[in-house]
Amino acid sequence: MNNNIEDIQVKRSDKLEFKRNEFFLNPSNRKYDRQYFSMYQYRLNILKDRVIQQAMTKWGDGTKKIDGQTIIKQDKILDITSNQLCWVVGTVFCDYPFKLNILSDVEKGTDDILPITPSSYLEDFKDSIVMIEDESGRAILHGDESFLNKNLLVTGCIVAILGIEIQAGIFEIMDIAYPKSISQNQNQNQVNSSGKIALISGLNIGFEDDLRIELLKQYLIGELGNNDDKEFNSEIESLIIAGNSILPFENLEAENDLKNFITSNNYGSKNISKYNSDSLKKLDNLLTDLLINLKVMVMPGVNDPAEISLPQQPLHKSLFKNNLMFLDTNRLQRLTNPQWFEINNLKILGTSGQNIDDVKRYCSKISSLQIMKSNIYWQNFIPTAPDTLYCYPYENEDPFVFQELPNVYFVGNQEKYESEMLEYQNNKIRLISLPKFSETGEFVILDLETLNTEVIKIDL
Amino acid sequence: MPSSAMKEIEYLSTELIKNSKPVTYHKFSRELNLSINKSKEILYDYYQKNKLKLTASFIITGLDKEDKRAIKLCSDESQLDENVAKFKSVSVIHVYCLISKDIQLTNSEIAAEEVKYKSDLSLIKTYEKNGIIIGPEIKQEIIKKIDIKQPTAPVIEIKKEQPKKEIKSNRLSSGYVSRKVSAAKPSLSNHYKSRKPSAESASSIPAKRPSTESSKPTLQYKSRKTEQKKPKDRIIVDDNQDDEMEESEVEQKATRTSTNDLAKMFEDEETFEFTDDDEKEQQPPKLESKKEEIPEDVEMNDVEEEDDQLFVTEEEEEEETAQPKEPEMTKEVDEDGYITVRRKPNPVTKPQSKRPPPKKSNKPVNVTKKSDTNNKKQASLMNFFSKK
Repeated sequence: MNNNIEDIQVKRSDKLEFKRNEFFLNPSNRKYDRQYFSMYQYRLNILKDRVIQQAMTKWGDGTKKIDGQTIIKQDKILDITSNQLCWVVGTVFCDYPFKLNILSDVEKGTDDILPITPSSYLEDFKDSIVMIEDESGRAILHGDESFLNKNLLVTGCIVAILGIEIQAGIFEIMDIAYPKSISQNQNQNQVNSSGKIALISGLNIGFEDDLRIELLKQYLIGELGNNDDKEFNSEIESLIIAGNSILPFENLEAENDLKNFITSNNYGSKNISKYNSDSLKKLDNLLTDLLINLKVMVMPGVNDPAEISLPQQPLHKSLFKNNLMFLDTNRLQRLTNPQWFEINNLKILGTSGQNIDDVKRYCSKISSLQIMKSNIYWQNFIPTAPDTLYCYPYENEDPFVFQELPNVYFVGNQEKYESEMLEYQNNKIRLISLPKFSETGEFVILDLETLNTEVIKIDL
Repeated sequence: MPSSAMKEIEYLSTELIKNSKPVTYHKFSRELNLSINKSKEILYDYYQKNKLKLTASFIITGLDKEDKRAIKLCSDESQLDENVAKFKSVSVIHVYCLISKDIQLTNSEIAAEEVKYKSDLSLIKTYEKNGIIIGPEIKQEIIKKIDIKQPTAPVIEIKKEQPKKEIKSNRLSSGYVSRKVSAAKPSLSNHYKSRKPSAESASSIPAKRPSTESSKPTLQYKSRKTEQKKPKDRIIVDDNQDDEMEESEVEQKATRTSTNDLAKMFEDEETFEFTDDDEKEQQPPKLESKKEEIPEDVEMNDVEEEDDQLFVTEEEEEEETAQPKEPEMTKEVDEDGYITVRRKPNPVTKPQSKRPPPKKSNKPVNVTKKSDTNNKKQASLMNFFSKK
């Protein structure tokens, strides 16, 4: 105990440059008066060809047969004829009973308050309708549950469906083709990056001080543990905090008011802040303690005091009063959510988890990692925006469609740590599901050279 | 060595026994400027000698059974073996915290104690000497910003002596500053950082403000008009991720050393806003009564003059920008002994630039205003009823 401890000097490596800022919305020209239609249209335009490409190789058009029936391609959903095996391309739309519905809010007179997002949009698959639609029309998809569970479909995905119309407007689903994946740019002398970054999410700093956060701090700056720990930590160049740093108040009374629709005005008791100013200060102090020798990047999350709609814009400067001198230098960076990083050609995509959490409301019992894989299949990592996730109304653009594939894709604030190297259409993508630190005491170290991950647990 | 060791032992005994506070290796190292490893060692020795009086908690690092790196806090020496058994390989066990046996502390209480000893960015070199990982160098310009803190310490002292209210208003200068307060206490202007970035104009305020602002306190409420005139400015400022806030905040930051002071100021903010609101509420009647004195058939020019003046006396910002344009000023001393600075009417340029306000003030203002608000209220009421 406490033996053989000599002071050694350990220097933190500092080679990484992080770039990219495509999710930043210039505040002076944000426009909120647009319709979301153009986002969906753009998505369809971009992905349709890629889906067709994939479906053609999979099913062909009049060239392949299943059970003696020739498969043909239909250009429009309206062209589908009864009892004929065919495939069509369209956008999936899920009509689930508990999805938020502005029209019903207007009907009830509660459209002026922020609705509470349900924990699930459906109940035992009752009244759940999955449809595919294009410019011409809609068809209800009919298939057994296990098939739909295995091949996850949520609103906003662009896919090709193979099947037969068994009844007017009802399409029996047999197989799915996803868009052909865009490929990682392998021609560049890729992955010459080295070093490590630490990923953490869900600090949930609240009223009570969490000793684990103190230990985390001391560990990362090299005080806790011995020289081995110190040397290990010195390889960590940067810490990315992936959302939910702040624990909002639980204001039961106000929530009950909302639930019971007692009033519909936006003033008075209901409009009080969700945040405790102490926890905001604690976050600032935590950052000061880390910044003495570590670069820190902070992403906003669903609980943080940031905008509600995706892409969430960086947390406000005034939350970092103690560290203003570091702001927007590479020492302390305020990121958007989602965020793309580029480190020596290595591309990393990260979100704070809303995209995965929302898909979980569409289906029961599916792991975060499975949804992340589906994101890659769909070639869209937030298909449910703008349907069930608040989203900035982009015009003729959908930045959530993969225009390039990341080498690492991480998602914060999930139930547990999971990590897997996904190989998909000649691409290798490291998927990381980050646990909530406040619940597990775990954070993740990503090696940028090997793309291996390691989880570290702080236990009290 | 012995003498310094004495000092450390003394610190431990006072802190642990007398003050009944927990002492972690981190706090011990930071407080006495000891190397991290040294502080762990001393704490352990001290614990060995005073086992009867103290409880020690330990940190175990190593690999757990699943080959995951793990850090385990063990709250008591008796649990050490049990916890070590959970590890596949242990890389180190070191003391974390000593607590007097007389007191029971939860983990969050220990954390709360740890939080008090936060890092000071100007002491990074010391921490590095004491054994933290040496981080990437901080750029010169940032170091300067950190260093500014020290020389300006005396300024804080002065602030402290002033009544709380002033500090509060000073705090708020990034957002809203009560004009009343700042006008009544010209001395404050020394500390007031103009929201406008230019330092020269800020320095010119102290000289001018006392004479202009204090002269017509009753008119200050009309600031709404200036705000109406400059809505775009404000919005842009907000939208642009408050660039100006950064500047002014950093400057302010530079004049403050203690973050505790900062925190105190924060706490006071609410009450301050409250009083300011009160002032506001009290103001409208004054304004109205003032307006009623103006005859309805007042000539356009007169009203304008009145208006212009309001702009001049109103907000510091407005004043700064407006004054250079208008060199012709007349000073009058009214019956109350207030000095009134009046701008001579400038019919060629002024009416054009300030047309919107005159239009409103052309008619009996309070009547139109009232009807306006009444209309609004009625409309919303109607909506309310029609819904149900």
